[in-house]
Amino acid sequence: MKKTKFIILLLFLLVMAGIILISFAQFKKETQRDYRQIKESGQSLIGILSLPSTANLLSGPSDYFFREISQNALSNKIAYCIIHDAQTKPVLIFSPGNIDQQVDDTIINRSLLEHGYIMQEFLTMDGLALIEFAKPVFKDKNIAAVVRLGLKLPTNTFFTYEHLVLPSQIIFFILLALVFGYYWTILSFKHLKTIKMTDDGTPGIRQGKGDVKDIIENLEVYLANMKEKTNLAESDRQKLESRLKISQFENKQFFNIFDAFDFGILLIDSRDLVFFANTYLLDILGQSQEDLINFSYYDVIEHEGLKAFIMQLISAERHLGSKDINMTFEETDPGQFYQASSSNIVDAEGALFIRLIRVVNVSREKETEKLQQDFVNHIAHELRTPLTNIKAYNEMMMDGEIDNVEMQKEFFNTINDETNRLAKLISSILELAETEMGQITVTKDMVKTDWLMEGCIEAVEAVAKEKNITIERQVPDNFPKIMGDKEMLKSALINILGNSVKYSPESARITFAIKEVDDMVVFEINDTGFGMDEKDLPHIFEKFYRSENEDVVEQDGSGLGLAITAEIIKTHDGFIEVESELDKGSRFTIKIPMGDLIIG
Amino acid sequence: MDKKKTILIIDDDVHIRRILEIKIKHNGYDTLTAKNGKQGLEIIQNQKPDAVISDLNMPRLDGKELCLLTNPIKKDRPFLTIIITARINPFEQKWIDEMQDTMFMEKPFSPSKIIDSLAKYFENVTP
Repeated sequence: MKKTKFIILLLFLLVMAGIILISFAQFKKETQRDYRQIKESGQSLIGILSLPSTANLLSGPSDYFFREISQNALSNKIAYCIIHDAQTKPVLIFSPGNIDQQVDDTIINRSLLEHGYIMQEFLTMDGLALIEFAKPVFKDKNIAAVVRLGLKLPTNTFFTYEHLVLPSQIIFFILLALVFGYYWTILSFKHLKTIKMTDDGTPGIRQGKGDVKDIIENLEVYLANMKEKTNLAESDRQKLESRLKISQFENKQFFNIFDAFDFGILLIDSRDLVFFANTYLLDILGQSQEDLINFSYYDVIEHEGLKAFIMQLISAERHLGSKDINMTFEETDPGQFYQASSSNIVDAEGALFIRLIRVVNVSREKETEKLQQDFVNHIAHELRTPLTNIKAYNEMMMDGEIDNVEMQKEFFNTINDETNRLAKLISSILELAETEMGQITVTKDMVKTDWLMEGCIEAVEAVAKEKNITIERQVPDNFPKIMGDKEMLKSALINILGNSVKYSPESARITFAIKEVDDMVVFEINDTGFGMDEKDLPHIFEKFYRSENEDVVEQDGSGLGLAITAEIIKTHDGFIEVESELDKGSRFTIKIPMGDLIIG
Repeated sequence: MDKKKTILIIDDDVHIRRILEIKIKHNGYDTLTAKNGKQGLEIIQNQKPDAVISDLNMPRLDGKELCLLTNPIKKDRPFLTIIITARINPFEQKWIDEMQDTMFMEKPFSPSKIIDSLAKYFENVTP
């Protein structure tokens, strides 16, 4: 506040000094003008008064002389007029308004001309400022007289009305400026008050009366407010920075999670710019983050299939995602099949926020799908072949095309065989399906292995006898017992023993051994049949796999027997191994854990 | 009298080979038989049958491979191929359509229909 008062006082003094200076300059100018006028007029008048006729005045003053003195514009300024004769003796002394007035002796006796002065200024004893002009009057080439004219110098007063006009004008304008300044400040403060209203809890601008003091105080308060707001803003900025960092960290965490996915992720924002692509996708695209991020997908995604998929998504303008499409990345991941799908992420108002595109490797699914397709094709083939035979043979008989009795018998036999083949095949398929799907009920009982062996041999004996094949039993002293499903185990062993009979030449020899090794019952079936090609071995337990070996093709078979056997052994936690050599024979070894036997 | 047309029957199933052989012979054609696609191809190349009836699913060169190999021959020496298949799907239909003088017949087929197809074909190609 003291500072404010000082500023106001200083301003006031400066204004006053300005007024004095201007007034003084005005006064000085007027004085100089009057002095110049008096000097010029005095010189002019002394010239007139010093005409030769003036010499005549010595003998008696003339009217002309008096008229010139009294009616002259300077008459009120004339202090005196003295005429000296040739001997410098004052002869005539005049004083304006009162000719007879006594002129001061000191002045009368001053003979300026004696000293060579024709003009001089001086002060009288009374303090009157005078200027005297002196000029000789010549007559007949001689000085006849000397005229002296004294004029009063201007006595201007500093504080005159004229002098005060200009300072008054200046003061008026200053006051005007102050009034204008006041209202301008008031208007400004109104604006500042608006700021106050918008920010609660901060010191506001006081409703002042509009004087300078109030304005200054308000300004101070406003500045304080601004400083406080600046601090708050700075604090807010720091908070925002912290939030941004947290957000960036969270984004990074998100992206790290995305990078861990074993499928491609691509995020496209609502402006069609690539927002993110995970490492998996970048790898299969053969592009880098820098290539994609913040660019229009259309400009940067090089894979035509993926680009077309995104275009389709955007043109569809649906928030429900789009139809999946298949694609390959031959350059980066040849031979693999991918599927692209999408879903749209929307904000709280339901507006599209991000398009999320997933690119998943579906090669395995494709492979499974192919296997399933192959399986269905195989089943169709296997089932429809005997059916075709039944239908074809039957049709021929019905059409009466076969009149030979022997041939008719052959046809009936074929129809019968094919019907049995079809029934057996259906049973095998069902058995396999149930075992695979775990739908079959496994009834685990104590199974005597001697019973198993005899049951299996009995099942294949008829066919073996037809081919004169001998089945040799290799048995232990004591037959072990195992926990298992006796029908299933029997079925598994019959499949193997049956194959040995089927794929052995006539008069061949097969050995069927049972032994106990380390809590396992080992079944060993050894034949000296056609054996298997090395290339067939890895596939013999696959469904519908049949060797292209001519000896195998000649025989009926669905290609399901060994697949069923493998499933049954798996159900009993056992193992199956095979050794085989083409044209030499095969050895199948089956190991089944004995399990916890229930003695009863 | 025209020379008898020769029909080649290719199937790994002995009963199908047998019934087709009897049916076709009964209808005045000569027959040739093969157990697989490989044998069938050799016969096509050497004995130039007038028509081929082949199973699709066979060991040693299946029906599709056989068609692909024999299709170029058909430009100079056209002959009918009837593919017998257990199941026709759109994919198989497509490649069969791309082959010259090739048709399919789904199992279980009627032997009479095979004869009808042969007769119709020879009727059209014989001037």
